[in-house]
Amino acid sequence: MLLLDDEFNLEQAMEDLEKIVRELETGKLPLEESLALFEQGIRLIRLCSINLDMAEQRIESLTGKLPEGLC
Amino acid sequence: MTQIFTVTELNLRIRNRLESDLHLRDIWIQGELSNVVNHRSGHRYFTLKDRECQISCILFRNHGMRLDFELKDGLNVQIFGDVSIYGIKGQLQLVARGMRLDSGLGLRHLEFEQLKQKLSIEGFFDLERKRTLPIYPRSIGIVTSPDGAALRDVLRIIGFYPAKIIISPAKVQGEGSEESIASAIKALNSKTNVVIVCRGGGSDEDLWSFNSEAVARAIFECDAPVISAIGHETDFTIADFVADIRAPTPTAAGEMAVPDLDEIKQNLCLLETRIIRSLRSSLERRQNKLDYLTLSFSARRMYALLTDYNQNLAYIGERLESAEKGIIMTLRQRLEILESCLAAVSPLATLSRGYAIAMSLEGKLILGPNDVIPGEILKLLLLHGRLNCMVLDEEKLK
Repeated sequence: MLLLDDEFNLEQAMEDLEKIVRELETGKLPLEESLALFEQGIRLIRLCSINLDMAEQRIESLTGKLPEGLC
Repeated sequence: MTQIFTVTELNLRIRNRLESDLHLRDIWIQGELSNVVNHRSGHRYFTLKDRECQISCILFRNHGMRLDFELKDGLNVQIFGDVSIYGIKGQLQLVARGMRLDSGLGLRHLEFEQLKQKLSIEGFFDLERKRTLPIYPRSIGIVTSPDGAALRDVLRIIGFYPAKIIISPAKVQGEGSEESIASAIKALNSKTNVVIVCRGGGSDEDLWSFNSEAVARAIFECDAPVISAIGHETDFTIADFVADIRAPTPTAAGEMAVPDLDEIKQNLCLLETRIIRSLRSSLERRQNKLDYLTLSFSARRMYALLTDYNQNLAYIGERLESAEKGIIMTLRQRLEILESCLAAVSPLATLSRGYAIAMSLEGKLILGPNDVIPGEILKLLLLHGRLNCMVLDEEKLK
């Protein structure tokens, strides 16, 4: 599933999002493009939110075992 | 005959020898404290050392009472006392009678300054070299002891942030800790966006490995920006100077490493509002334009246009008319002028004075008797009309 993909890049997503909003706010785009951008923006927002809510920790240790109950 | 001593006798001899040697009495010795033991008896045992050597020391209770500072490992001190031997153990020791803190540069301090100087020349502390931390790190490396409180402090902060956390365990104090820390930093190479090197508070000695060249070099060469949080807020190590940014505590290091989640979520909400609003306003703009166009094509609009045209037409007509009138007026005026000009030269004026003009029926002016024959009908032009007359007689002018 894309949402849980390790490759999801929050920084990139936030950047893209800012760009989309700025472009939409110029109000100079044809309707079709506006709608496409809008959809993309909303999808990115959902992705970011879900990504941020993933409290599940991914901690690994380079050597040896970690003590229990680290977090 | 060879004299044979008991151990006690030997130690006594040594003791006498030591205590009678003025070079070993009432002397000042400087060095660094370690293995400090505060005994129940009130005596204090410790070791004084420099880079190469060490000597056992004792500070008896009666002398120790006057001290105005606590003995701690790693402290640089100057001791006043005598060299002696503790007979029972056969152990050489320095009996301290007075102590003061070494306010001058202790050996370690000297080493610290030398290393700092050297690394400074190599550009380790250059501000231009400091890298900025990524706003949204995807992978965070932590170099610390896996059992320390520092690790828990950091994880408590960054734990909720959705980044991969790689712990690179290190021995943070004691024998071999320098190499351990340095290699733990190196092990994170090309694996993370940011590295936290941290350790909880401790004595200067505990933190000392963070003043080593090996650790400094590892931080310097680390491919990700390094946040250092070593010891307490007041502790500054070489590692702190080399790091891209120093955090006062491990908790603060965690806060620096990741963005504030609530803030991002708020920002996301804001972006969502903006995106929706801008689409809505874009749609509204189009609707308005459509409305406007619809209005432009309505019947009422057409009538209005027609009325406009009619008005224009009427106006133009009026202008045309008045222009025409103007032209006629001008013509009339010109005519009157011409008329009066004409009147000035007209024979009518002469006629009004009683003269008459005689003409043949063909209209030829009669100027004398030669122009007519008797019996011819002449036209006589008078002021008020014309007479046809017959020539009866002629009389030439003489």
